[in-house]
Amino acid sequence: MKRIWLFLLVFLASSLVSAKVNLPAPSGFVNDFARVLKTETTSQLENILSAFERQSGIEIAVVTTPSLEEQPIEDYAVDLFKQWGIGKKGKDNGALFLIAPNERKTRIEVGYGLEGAINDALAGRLLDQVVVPRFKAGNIDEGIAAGTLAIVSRIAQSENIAFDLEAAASSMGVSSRSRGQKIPLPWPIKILIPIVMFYLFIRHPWLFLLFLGGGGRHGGGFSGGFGGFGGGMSGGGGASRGW
Amino acid sequence: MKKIWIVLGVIVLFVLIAYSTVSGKYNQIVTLNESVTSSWAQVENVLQRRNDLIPNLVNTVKGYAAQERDVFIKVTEARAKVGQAQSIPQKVEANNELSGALSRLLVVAERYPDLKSNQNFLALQDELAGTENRIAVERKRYNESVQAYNTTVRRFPTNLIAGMFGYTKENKYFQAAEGAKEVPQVNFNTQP
Repeated sequence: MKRIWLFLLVFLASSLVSAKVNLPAPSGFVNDFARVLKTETTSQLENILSAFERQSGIEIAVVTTPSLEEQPIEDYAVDLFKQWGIGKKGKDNGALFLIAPNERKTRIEVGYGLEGAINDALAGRLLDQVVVPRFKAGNIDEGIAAGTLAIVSRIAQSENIAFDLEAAASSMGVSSRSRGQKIPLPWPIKILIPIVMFYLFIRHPWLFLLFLGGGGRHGGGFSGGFGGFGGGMSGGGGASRGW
Repeated sequence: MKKIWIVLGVIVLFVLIAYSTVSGKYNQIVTLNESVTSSWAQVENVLQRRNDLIPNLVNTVKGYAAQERDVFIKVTEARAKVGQAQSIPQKVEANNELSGALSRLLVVAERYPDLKSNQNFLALQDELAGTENRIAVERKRYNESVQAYNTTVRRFPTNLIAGMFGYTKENKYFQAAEGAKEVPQVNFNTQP
């Protein structure tokens, strides 16, 4: 009985670490929650972005959201960025291309580590020239695709990465293999963890504290599945536009 | 004989637990204090970034609106004040004043259509908007770390441990000036 309570407690505590942005976990680099992308576009962009990540380590997320939850897009973007941990931890080499079709707002949010590659003025110009005209004409799908490609090629250019967009776009099958669910821990381990913790706490408080201290530093990003994002952060760099 | 061992064991266990609690809490306070320092450094970083942008911005606007002298003087003065500020509260105040001056500069710029369509000004405007947004983000993170630190230092029983080691000083929050966040929100699409 005690074990069950303990297990419940641990479970509750982990679910209490609440997310600020109300979106499901990412299932890939492209997350079309607002359902505005064609299936081919999604899978092509996914191929390109995952190939780009494998080659350079840079993580670019493309997200459409049905609602900004009454927040300015700048706040929403920075929260989502941190929540998913886009970019590698410590390098912060991620970027987020966020589109809110219902609010008619879009933003390129740049991680700390890519601020040199895409400065704010460039992000703004990119939106003005490549994305907003297409959005204004009603071509959301095309605007997102063109914008994403522009972001990728711009980053590849300034970071001196020889990246073949065409080849990446046609490399089918990669994404379906790399996509999928997070590998769950087997249930005996899940139950064992709190028991071991409890035992440690009683018998070796020192070890227990060490364990807690070490455990606290991990986390961020998701393991398994599409590789997950790496725990990067952004600090509000980038540009926003409405249309 | 056996009883003595049990009593001794209990005492040792008690001391161990007490020691690990104190050292754990102490380390927590140190970590929180460090994160306040580092997040303030990050705030200064982005404030400096804005300061560096201003001469360029002022010169660009001057090229089109040279007669608006008052506005330029205000911005230049406010920028100088930021440079002189020493303590954190002074810096916060000086920067809030600068935010106000900058927003007036942008309002003035709205009246000059040629300026508004100047590529250089557009780029600067994006840089400024991005910088203001960065300031908002880093200010929020700084305030969060201050809150975490202050709460820990004031709450029982951590306050006893904090007092023992001299961590009694509370950190001040960075309060944004009224409307400071609106500075970058000049919209080219809807404004006449």
